[in-house]
Amino acid sequence: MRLSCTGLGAGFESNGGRVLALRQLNLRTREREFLSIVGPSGCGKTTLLRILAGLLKPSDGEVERIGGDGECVRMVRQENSLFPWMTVLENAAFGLEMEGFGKAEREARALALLAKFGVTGRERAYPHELSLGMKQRVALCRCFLSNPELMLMDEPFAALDAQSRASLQQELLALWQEAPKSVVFVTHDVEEAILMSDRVLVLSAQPGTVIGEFGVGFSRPRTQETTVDPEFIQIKRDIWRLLGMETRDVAHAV
Amino acid sequence: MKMSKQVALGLWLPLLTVTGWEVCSGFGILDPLFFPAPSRLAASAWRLTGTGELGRQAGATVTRMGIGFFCGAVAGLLLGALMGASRRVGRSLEPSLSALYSAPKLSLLPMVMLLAGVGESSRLLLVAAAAFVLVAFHALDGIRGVDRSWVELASHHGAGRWMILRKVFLPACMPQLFTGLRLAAGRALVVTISIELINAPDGLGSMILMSWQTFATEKLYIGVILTAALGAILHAVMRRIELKLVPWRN
Repeated sequence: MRLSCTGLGAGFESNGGRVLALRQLNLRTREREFLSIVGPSGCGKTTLLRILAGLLKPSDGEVERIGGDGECVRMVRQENSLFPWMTVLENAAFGLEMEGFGKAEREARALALLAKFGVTGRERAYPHELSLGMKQRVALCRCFLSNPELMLMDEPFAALDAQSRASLQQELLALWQEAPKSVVFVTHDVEEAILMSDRVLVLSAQPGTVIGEFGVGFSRPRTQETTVDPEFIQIKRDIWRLLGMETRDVAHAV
Repeated sequence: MKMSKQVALGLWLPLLTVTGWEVCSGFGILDPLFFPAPSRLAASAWRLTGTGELGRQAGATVTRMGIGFFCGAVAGLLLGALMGASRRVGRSLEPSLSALYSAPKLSLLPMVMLLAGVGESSRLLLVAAAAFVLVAFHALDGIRGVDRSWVELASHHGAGRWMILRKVFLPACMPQLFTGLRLAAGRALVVTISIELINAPDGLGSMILMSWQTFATEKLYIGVILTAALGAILHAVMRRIELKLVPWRN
């Protein structure tokens, strides 16, 4: 599935005034592309993703879903990604359960994928007993099990420590490469965006709009080695320069 | 911490008190007329159990409390759910419920007896009322406190209204509801004993009052200790059920 958005705008009421979160945002995703969106915090990344997921109506413009049945979009969020009252297994199999799969089948499929993510022996545990990294693994499992045509990820690794983040990045990439799907991955971590993606979009500070686009051509699988490639560093520098200008603008405005 | 260790930690104070009391009584420091030795109390309790009186009195209290609590809790649950489901109903009933919540239940006893007669029904009504308000408020709070983001997460995965109710609303308000049930059970016991101290043909409260009036000190102590033990048991049972039904609560 591909997305095509033109002139997206979104705002919300705050303390009596209207705050513009997104302004004239154009975005086109490609089939089976890993697309990342980076931007300064508070630039409306989450708002954008919620609009793409259909959870929020944009105040301007529209989101067009092209190809596929246009239905199966799944999101992984940064916080509260699992239901606290369901076990790991129930959480992972929740999407399948809602799709009407029987208990035996959905649990077998969930267990297999959980094992692939290294979540074994904790199937009956509740989320509060898990580390953040484990929780996000389970959330990713639930997302992949629904076999969506488009996956939306809202800073899924933002709250993790550097080591867990690196290993989750690799696990996600490995699974994605087995059967590439369209992904829109929102992050504030520039290096993460480049390492994971085929293409990186840079958003401006609020109200968010696309101010830069970078193609990332490194062959896959990519490793931590990739991050020290001179070309990688060049892209990183360019993105930072764009973001840096943005933060300077904000500083001037304030 | 292990269960046995927890129990041991909780028991040292009662054990120390009883031992000290026994020793003091043995040396004649305490007047046996006012402070009968624990060993005498135990013997008396044993005798009263044999005649069946203790069982009858405790049974009366437990039955009264149980029926009142059950009826009040069910009614509270239904009303709380209704108030949570409909904003209109919630807004229109909340002030009245708050008034009932703040009113000391015992002060209502004469009025209730005037309306429902001096028999058992007015006692049950008051115990039920005490449980009712606590459960209703906690059920209402539980429903209102359900984080919208869980609803969104479920519907994003294709859950319909019924599934959202079953998979999100019910479990999400369970912890709060259970807090209400636990508090209500405790309150029901307190109100039951208090009513029995005022007006009841049987029950531990009535036994305590009678013992005081007839200066039967041993029986008085036994009544008080039994009441306290009942409270502790009730608390432990509710905790156990809660752990079973709300295992995700940390």
